[in-house]
Amino acid sequence: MKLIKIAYRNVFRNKKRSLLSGSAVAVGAMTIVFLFALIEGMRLDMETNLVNFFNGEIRIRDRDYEKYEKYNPLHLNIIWDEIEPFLIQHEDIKAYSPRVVFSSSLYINEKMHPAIAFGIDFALEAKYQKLDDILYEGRLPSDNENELLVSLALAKNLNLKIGDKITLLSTTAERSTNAITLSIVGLANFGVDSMKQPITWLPLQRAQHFLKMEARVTEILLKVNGNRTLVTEKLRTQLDDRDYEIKSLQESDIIYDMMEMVQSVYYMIALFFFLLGSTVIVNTTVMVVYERIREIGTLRALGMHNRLLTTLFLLEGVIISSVGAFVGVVVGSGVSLLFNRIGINFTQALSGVDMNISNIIYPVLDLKTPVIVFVYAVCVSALATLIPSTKAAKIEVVEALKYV
Amino acid sequence: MYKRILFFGLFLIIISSPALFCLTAQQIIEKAENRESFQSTYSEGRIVSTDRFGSKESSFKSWSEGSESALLEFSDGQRVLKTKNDIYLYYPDAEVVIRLQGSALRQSVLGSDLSYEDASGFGDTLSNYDVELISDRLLNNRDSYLLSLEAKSKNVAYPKQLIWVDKDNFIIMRRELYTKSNRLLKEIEVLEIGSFENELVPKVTSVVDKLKKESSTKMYLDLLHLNVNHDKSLFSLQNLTW
Repeated sequence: MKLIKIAYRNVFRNKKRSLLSGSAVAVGAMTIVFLFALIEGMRLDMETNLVNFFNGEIRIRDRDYEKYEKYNPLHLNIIWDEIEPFLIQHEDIKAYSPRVVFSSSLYINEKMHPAIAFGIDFALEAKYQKLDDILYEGRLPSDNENELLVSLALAKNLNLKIGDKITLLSTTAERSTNAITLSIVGLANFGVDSMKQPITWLPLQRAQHFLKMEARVTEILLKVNGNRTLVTEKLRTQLDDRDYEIKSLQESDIIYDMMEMVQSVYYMIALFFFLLGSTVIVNTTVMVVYERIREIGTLRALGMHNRLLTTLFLLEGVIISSVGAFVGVVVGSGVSLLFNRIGINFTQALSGVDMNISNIIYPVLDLKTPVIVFVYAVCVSALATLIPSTKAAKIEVVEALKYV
Repeated sequence: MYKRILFFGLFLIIISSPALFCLTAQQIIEKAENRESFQSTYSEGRIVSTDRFGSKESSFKSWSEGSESALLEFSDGQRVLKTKNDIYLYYPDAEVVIRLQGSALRQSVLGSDLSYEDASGFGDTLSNYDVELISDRLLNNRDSYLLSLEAKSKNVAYPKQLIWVDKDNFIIMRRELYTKSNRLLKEIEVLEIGSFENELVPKVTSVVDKLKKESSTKMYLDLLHLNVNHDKSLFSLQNLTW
């Protein structure tokens, strides 16, 4: 207990030096907390976009669809009526979205413009994701009406507005061609750069009629309760007799899978930051050791053991790094929470990056993060002080007393 | 002296006889195109296209007048109107008629190996191409003229062509369509000749788009009426949307 008091007192003996050491740890901790929150925000944002727009938590498609995806293989489809009762009854399935995804051309003013079209069951989609967040202007298309929702980017590029009629051309499931005229009733802001492509959403039934694939869909996206991997395995076993490909989000999207994998790399980066911060502490402690060499000699002459001396310097390091890490974690958490509300605009930085990440990222602070970062910071910084502390303990008494 | 004159005369006749009886490349093309163009026609047929996913068949009805106006109606309701300068598409669910132009003309008809440009015919060959008779060749055991065509301008779909014209009936039995750098784009070959109203015409034709993998198309002509009286409005845009 006395040792702690001495260590505490020593910290305040040279306030500026202690402040410098503590600040280094604080900056490191703050940066790491914010970095982790930003990465978590990006991961969750990417996951939300992938789940809502592209892959679902689990995606069901025809077994051969992926192999021929670039050929717009609408004939490789799923009979929706056959699988819907199974999905309704399944205890692990929270929501589902049957879709027809196809490449198309928009015929406007005698010119063709490429676009990706989605046939959507808007009633089921409303249960699958918040459509109010997507709808920028106007309303959603009505089932069985020749109506269309177009992405804001498409509307801007082609100077389209609500009420305009456009003709959509595509290859059908019979591998023939067809065209349909639809009225624009709404503009959608998907917020994701990859969804800023020319994208149109039309009612599923109209898409099925137009593409000659009545009651059929190209994919079904699922949101599930519990572990995705386990539910995916379960569905594979239960639907084994059908020609389906059932993939979890991790299996469908390599980038997302990688993003989960590289989280361990972030911990390595964090370690590097703390070691960098710790060099200041090491440096300061070394200076303190030399500055207090007479004191060390006196203490040793009075009978203080090497171990106690090492512990004393170690305690000083722990106190400084604890205070620094605490301040850093608090400030880092505060900054993360602030940006969680206002967001960080990455529009320019992400332009052209096909990663399904929104332009505005909201850092997400996981409650575990500040605790882990605090413990991590204190441990790394304290361990770093061991080097000069051991050095101090090894100083010969006679040598130290020379300075008296 | 008389003998010398007679001998010289006979010699001239002998050496000039091939020139008298052989046709030039231009004459072969003219003959081939003349026999292909009828005043007006009504025909019915089928297009069977095969690709990596299997085969599909579409039937069609076709009306034509001269070489400039034609109307095609497919079993799925799609109609294609060819006028002097343009090609228009009509689909039952579309409120507008689509005018094809530029690269859109190269789009495939019903997912087959045939493009809209091909379907509208190869036009006036002699105006668009320099033609050269390469040789007489046997094609499927039939004597044929092999001609090389090189485009005079950039306004044609295929800068180079090789065509085989049957010596007996002047039907273009085979066409190979190339890019300027001699890359083979398409092969069109008559597989069977049929007789309709005492006229010989291609009955089964194969089209292979060499840029597509595992893809081929066969066109069957099942019915052909020649010199039919068509209503003038048949080839109008108004009629297309009815």
